[in-house]
Amino acid sequence: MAEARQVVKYTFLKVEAPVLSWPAEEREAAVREFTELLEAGPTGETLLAYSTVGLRGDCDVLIWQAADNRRRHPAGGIAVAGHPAGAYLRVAHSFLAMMKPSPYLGRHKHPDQEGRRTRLKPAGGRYLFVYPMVKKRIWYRLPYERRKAMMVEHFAIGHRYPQVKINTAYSFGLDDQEFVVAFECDQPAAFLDLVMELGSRRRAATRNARRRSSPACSCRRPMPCSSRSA
Amino acid sequence: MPPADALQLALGLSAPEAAEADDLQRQVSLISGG
Repeated sequence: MAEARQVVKYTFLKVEAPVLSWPAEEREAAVREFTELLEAGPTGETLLAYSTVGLRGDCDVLIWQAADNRRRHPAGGIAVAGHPAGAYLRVAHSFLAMMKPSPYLGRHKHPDQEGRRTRLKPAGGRYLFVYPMVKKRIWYRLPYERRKAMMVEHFAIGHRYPQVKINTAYSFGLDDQEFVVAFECDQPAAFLDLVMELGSRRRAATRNARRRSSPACSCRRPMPCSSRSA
Repeated sequence: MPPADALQLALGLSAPEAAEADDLQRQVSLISGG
């Protein structure tokens, strides 16, 4: 029996502006409510939080969840509505996807290979760069072998950046996008260089093959935080 | 990191340790007042 695929959910939350003027005790109570909200929600193997404060204006927090499709899964994500936290949190972006082996890998194999995984294995990178992706129809009109050759080149470029881990999940029919890609790394410069190289090497036939790849969300795992009395 | 840490940061209850941060973190801390 094939290994169960995990369902993956990215939920970006925005704190409503009036909350920022609340007294510190009330904001601390909001944090406790938020923790209860997460604990009350679907359980899974992965539950990670990232901050987008200072990196994006339309969201503040990313909750990254993954769970076995056969168990309680995070397809519903975080049920903000109906929870007290719904009074001050709104969902800014929501991406639903599923892990699935890439159709382009063929016999090429190595340990913990991206593209073969049916389960999410976050590396714990300091930064996470997430975007939904939709490819142009021209990509799917190319013969399979040609698409495979281009993806093999794509994989080879990725191998030159071992410090960047890519997590690809598939959304076909589950959500608006076709893929959700999430790159983990400690040095944003490595991610930037990788994306630029992928863009510059893309062959003419697939140049601008992406029809949509936004919003591109840069997220980070906060350093140990210092208390701020306010 | 515990999920609550991210919300604490968003609510202004904590601030990143900019002095120990890398370049992007430091830039973000400066911009966001952390």
